[in-house]
Amino acid sequence: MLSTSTQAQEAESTPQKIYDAKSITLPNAMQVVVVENPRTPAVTHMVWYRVGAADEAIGHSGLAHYLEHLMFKGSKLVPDGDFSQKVKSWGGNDNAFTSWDFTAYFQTVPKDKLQNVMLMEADRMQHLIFTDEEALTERDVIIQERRQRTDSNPSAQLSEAMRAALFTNHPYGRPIIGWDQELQLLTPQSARDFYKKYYAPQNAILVVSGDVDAKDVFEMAANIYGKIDNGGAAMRSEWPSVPEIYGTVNIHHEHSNAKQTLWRKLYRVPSIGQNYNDAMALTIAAEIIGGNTGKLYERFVIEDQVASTTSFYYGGINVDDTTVSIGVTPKDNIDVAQLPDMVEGVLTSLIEGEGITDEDVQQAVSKLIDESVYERDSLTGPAMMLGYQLATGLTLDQAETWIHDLNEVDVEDVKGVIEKYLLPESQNYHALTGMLTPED
Amino acid sequence: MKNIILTIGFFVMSVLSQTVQADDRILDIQSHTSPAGIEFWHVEDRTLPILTMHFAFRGAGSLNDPDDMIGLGQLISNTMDEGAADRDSQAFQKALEDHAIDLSFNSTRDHFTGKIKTIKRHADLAFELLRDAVQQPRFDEEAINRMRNANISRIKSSQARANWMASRLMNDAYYGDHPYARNSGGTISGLEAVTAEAMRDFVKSKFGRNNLVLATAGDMSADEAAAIIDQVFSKLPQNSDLKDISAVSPPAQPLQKAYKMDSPQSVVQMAWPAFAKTDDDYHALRVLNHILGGGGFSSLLMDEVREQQGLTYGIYSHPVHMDYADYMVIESATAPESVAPMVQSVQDILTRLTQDNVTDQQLSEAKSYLIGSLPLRFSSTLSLSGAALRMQLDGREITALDDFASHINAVTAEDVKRVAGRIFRNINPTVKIVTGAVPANIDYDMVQSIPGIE
Repeated sequence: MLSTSTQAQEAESTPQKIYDAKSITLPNAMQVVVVENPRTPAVTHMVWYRVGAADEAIGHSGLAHYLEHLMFKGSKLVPDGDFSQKVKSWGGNDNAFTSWDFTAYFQTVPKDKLQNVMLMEADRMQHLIFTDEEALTERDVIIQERRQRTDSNPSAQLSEAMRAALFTNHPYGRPIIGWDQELQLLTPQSARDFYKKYYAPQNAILVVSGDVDAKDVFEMAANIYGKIDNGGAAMRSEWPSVPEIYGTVNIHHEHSNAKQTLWRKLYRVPSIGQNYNDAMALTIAAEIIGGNTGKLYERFVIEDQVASTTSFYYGGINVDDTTVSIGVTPKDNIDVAQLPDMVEGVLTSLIEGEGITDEDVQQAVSKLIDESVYERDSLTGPAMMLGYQLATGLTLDQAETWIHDLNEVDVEDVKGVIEKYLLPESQNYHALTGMLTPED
Repeated sequence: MKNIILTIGFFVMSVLSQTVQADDRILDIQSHTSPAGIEFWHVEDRTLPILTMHFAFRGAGSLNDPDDMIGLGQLISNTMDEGAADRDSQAFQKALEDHAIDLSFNSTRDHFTGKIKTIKRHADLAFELLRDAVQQPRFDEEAINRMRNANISRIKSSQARANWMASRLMNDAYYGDHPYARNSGGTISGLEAVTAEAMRDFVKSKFGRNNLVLATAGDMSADEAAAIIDQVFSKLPQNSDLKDISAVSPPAQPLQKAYKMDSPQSVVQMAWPAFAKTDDDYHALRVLNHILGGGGFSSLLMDEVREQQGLTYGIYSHPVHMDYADYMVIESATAPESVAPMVQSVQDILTRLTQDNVTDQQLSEAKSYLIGSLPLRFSSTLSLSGAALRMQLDGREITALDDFASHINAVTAEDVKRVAGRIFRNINPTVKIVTGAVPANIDYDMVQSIPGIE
């Protein structure tokens, strides 16, 4: 019989869970997670595969995303490729997305159609069908997608180049959409091989959120996904490591379409799965430094008036290393060459004296915890956020409660991670800058 | 289809334990009047401890911007939450930020709008901040200048994107002399000319109780909502002073304009005049649009141009409805050498729709999508008050959502063909725009600079 993991773990001292999800693991190793939300008679059904662009072989960039497109071309149950048409005809919506760490497929439908979408999704996990001709036409589509997303967008081109340099030798340095010259060479067979190698229950997580009873979903999933054989699917291989960055790297793009200068800095830092405590402190640091009430905006835009916009992000949820990114739109009279020192000056001032206070930290923590209430204010949101965290290696318990661990972060922790990762004296500092300027 | 940036519609409520409601309602919207006499629509939903409000000052949108201050409405919307009463910009922003209160204002072409979301625990503070922003915005010089710079920066960075440039060119060509032609986000010189005095005058003269439209939702009773509304809005002047605006006259002769940029792709936008949401054919238009290019992968445009020919990542149609203009847009991006074949495919599809009935399957699938997906639009608390506001702005009955299914079900294949004929009788678009890469030998009017930016 199936057992639910959450019931056993509900101790009195457990902090409030964000999603209050229930979970089982099927005998074929596929995890099933359910968020009950009776607000509306609808359901979101998502399957997350723990395979993505970072798992492509060298020379095959874009393959994971290409396969994601081909998953809509047909399967035994839906031979004519009208998967989306069927979902639409029930009043639902569906789509899919690919990241470095995962590929996910989702449908939002009236709740009485849950079994229909589950049958179709399970079918394309096992019996994907597409012709070479269809696949070659779809390759033209993703080439156009690259032109639209990246090649027509100078700032996207800069991001792509900066990431490639920051993650030298690591698959995170490849664009998810793929390099243009490699996209042209992807073959229908390479997509089939990738599919056969990785798409299987042991690499998949099912997340269902909506007006359902978890027990019913577990039973349905056991009957549908539980019948699928793993067939010896491959687990992800270990990714290569990133070498040190020597010297000062600045990537400078000029573009005739650019009408103003953009400046960016990208740091390679640990994710939540790699260094939990530092990730908690970086999350608070980003809250204090970023945003329009943050320290960077306060200094650059309000006090010194050297920039018209600033940004500071930390994307903590990732399988391998992740990034802190800083963006600045300098005012016209500012010499961009001075920005690296100016940013370093702000960060250095934060780790000194009262640069960051207890109050700063407490307010950041209470804001993030308050905001977690909004996580449940939707049907698809919980499935999206929970699946994202599980597919990148968090346990369900961690996903439910990590927000409360922010309470453990103090001022010294926040100053500590700024010094450790964002300032150049540290051996853990891995960073480069980039800028986009108008053509002379 | 990539990455984790997604927008997804949501849903809401049909069975709630604490409210009594008719079983056959899509959304239990109720109409109320506050003690001070302000009318509003309310959707009570106790699922989560969240409160939301949407409001609009009807007709107070950026079409009121003076000719020499294009961007006035935009700058007001950005600066209203940058300091009010005794809180300066940083104090005001910090009060919002620290309590997870989402407050924003927006100047659309037609209306000036605002929305707020708060967790119940911080509701008193949230509505105090909203009250101050509406009644006593400071418009401090420092904050205005920051917002001015941010807007000018946004305009400059947008100029790198061919689709943004195409929209500017489309607005200029389609709207002609009408105030809609102006960029509602402002022009660089217009933003530079805006003064604090003009902003204060605008707020004083355009925000009145007579053009206020309100909707609330979430974890509060109608009485609680009414008290909040009176606190925020009852002190506004009764009347607002708005410009008389005439309807847009689309260009009499078709226009084709192109603007060349350094890009591997051509962005294509095409527009045909359509008709208002109040027209008897509105529901047939919704069905037609779903079949043509509103229905994702299964639409005629996506199937033909993307799935069969691989010419584009996306091609879509959508009707645009505003107070003084209604039209249908088809847009896409493709390689320059594919512009001509793509436009040909589009015109073939449009010709078929005007000559032949859609199939029974196309008709029934479109209807079941439009009806079945309606509740999916009302998921989050904000989406409830958002829908209730939109319906009022559109002049809908409070039961409009409940009547939607019967209107859609009544649409016939002949209706769809007739509406296709009304809009696409002339198969050449009224305005056709190409930006980015421009195909060789194109007979478009080549534009040297895009209007509505400087």
